[in-house]
Amino acid sequence: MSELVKGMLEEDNEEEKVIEIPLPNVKSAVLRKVIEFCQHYQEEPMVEFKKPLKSGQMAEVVQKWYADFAVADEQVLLSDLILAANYMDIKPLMDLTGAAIAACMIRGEITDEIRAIGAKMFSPVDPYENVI
Amino acid sequence: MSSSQNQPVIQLEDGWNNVIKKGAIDVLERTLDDGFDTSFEPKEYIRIYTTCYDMCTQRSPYNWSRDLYQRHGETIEAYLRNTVLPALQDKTGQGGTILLNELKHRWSNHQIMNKWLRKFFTYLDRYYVKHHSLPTLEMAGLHHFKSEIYQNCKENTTSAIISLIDEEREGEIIDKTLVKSIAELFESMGTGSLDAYTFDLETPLLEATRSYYGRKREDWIAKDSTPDYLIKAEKALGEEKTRVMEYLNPSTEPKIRKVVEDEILQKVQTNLLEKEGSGCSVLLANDKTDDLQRMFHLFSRLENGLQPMANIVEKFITAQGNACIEKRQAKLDSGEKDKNDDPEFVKSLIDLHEKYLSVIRETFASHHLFQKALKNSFEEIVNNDVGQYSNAELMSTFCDRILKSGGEKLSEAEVEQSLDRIVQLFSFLTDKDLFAEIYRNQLAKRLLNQRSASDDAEKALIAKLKVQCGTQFTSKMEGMLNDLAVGSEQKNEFDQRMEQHGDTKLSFGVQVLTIGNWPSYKAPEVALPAQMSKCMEVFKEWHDAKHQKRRLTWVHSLGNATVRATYGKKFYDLQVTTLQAVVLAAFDNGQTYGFTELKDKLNLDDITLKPIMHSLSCGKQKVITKSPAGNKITSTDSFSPNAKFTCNMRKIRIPVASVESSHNKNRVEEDRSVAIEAAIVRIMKARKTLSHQQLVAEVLSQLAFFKPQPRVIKKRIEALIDREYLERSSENSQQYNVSLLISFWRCNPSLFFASYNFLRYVLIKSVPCLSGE
Repeated sequence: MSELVKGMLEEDNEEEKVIEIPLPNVKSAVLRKVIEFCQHYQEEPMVEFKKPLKSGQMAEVVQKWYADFAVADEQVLLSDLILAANYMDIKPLMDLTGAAIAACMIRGEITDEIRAIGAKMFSPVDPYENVI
Repeated sequence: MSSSQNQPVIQLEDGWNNVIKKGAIDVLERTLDDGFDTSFEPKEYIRIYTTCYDMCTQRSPYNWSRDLYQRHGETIEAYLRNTVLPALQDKTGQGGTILLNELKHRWSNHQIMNKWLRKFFTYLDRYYVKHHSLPTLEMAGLHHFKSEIYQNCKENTTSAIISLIDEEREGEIIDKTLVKSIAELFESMGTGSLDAYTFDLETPLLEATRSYYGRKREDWIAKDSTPDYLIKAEKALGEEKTRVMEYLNPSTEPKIRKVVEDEILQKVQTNLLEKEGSGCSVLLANDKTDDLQRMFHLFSRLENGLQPMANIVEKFITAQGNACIEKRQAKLDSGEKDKNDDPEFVKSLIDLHEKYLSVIRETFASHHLFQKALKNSFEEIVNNDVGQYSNAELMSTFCDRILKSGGEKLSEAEVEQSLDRIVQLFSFLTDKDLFAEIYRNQLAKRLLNQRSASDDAEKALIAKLKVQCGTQFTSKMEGMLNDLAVGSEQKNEFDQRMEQHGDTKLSFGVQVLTIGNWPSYKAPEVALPAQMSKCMEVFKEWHDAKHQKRRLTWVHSLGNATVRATYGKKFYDLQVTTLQAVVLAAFDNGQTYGFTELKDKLNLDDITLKPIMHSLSCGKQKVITKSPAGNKITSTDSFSPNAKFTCNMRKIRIPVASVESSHNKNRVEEDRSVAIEAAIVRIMKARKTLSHQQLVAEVLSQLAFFKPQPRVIKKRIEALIDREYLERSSENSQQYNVSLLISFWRCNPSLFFASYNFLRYVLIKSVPCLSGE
């Protein structure tokens, strides 16, 4: 699912040896959540939701598990997730996290975190594509 | 977390020089130059990727996306220009294969470099490239290769390839994989389209191919016979096809094929067909199936390539057919009697047709042009009559031979086959109606004289004719068979009736014929003996009760009888015709009659009576004595029963010479006039007004069973004008109404003649008897 990891695996098709792929830009807690996402996705693929979003409630836009997932906790902020997804090039996760942020905005909850993301990520970049 | 707030900002030169250049680009270049396998450990790769990523996601003014993109391009460009190009230029002078190998090597290197650089800089592809509508990294790399290397080398490369291909054509072995890789290089240089390949490689190759095969053609045509040339041509085409399959782009196949076909087939087609001693006609004459088949397949590739060949085939078959006809002519010239029966000739035509039918099927794959050629030539042959009797008649007699009892002895399958084939030959006849008339006459003879070998065979042939020409054509023939079938059904009924009412000593049968179906026969009103009259009355009564609306006319000139003749103590059964029987009955009491006396008594004319008397008194069995004796009957002869007559056999058949000709020529002519007039009326009813030319053309197209001369049609038109079915109107005048037009014609006869060439015919009334038929 991660294009980055996939790219590296392509190279090594002969030997079945264990490859070590460092991911310096991704903290372990974040990585854990990313893996959780990927594993769940294998079993229950996420629906493609329409952009622009029609509601501020994630539960109405996407499946329940994903709606619950896309929520910040103390260790892992939503912004962390977005950046990890961007770094590792995992499109579904990017869509989901982007949508979560957009949903916040629709609800009118401009938290500090959101502001920080906005400031940090302000470059002509796609994560905000799904904002109305 | 890679929050770039926590990490130091990467400066452009730092990031570039320390990480990217050192870790990626230099390594890449080195491994390529050294020839080692290029690969990067995941750790290394991630380091470089992350550096790029970071440098591209930093907030401005530290966002280095643009610079990285630019430097990516510059790196590739520099490498190509400084390292790759000189290496190639170095090899250019050293001969084709060496250059090609070097190019192949460098291209493969480039592909590796392009891949890795793309992987390192991949973040740019995701957003930067899209937002600025720039070429992707991969594309950019390709463009650089194209402009730095490809444009400089393409001409030399193309000539190297062409010389290799020419070598292979001459039989040398070349490195096909090498050529294939270079061809693929050309394809890639099109960046999405085949343009580069087409312009830079294919077009020069096609030209070279053209001149190569042009030379070969000149060489071969001078030395080789047609079959040998064709074998070489076939081989060359096969080779070129394989060549494209092995190392060129598939789109080249049709183009190369066209060039080769053009050079070695199209340009010398006439030459090959007409070559002295080995051209198409010679091959046909010697039944060279393989060579003809090859020729057929090769020429069918060309546009309109088969027509010339079909023309030669047509001429050849026509010549063969004419040879048969000349043979017949020679037979007649050398004094052989001209009869209406020439089975040898008809069979030779049938055999010719069968032969070329199978040739066309097997050698020419039943192609329609050749079928048409066969048809055209047979149409010419079959309508070429020599001698007194038309081919239509000869063919009808041929059928007669097969269908009559005592004719050719053939098995059922052979009969079927022969009939089938004669009908095929029949289909080429123009004068089909003539055939029908003759055939009907012969059929009548067979049926009435019980000479038909097999009812099924008769039906089969009529069915085949029906398939060819339609129901109308065979309706009379079918009617004839039907009459007999009905007759035999009703025979039992009538026999019972005879038993009740008739003279039981005389057994009597009647065959009822429907008048339209049968040929017209003379019905002499001969004076019959009482016994016979009585039988006829019984029948008439019975028949009239059954069919009130029908009228019977007795035809005594047909029919036969068995006469019990007692000469002294011996008696004989004489099998004779009805009229002979009537004559014999007159001598019942031993009288003597003069010829004229007999004539008057029996109410017969000379033409009828003479042959009868001849058969009874001058033939083998002289049952009647003629005085004076001799072989000719004159009106002064007198006749009496031959008291001294004896014969070993009890049953004696006494045949009479037949007077009738095979058919009534006038009848055919009459029928034709009627058919033409009916066609004219039918056409004019539909079209209302038509010019002379058009009318003649339409009439010709509508007549299926014969082809009249235009002047005959013109005569019919004039006849119809006389009877006021049509009228003329001059070309330039408006539509007149009917009466005006008539008076116009009456007052101005000079105008009528003056506008002779511009006549239009207008239908003014129709009559039921002519319409529809």
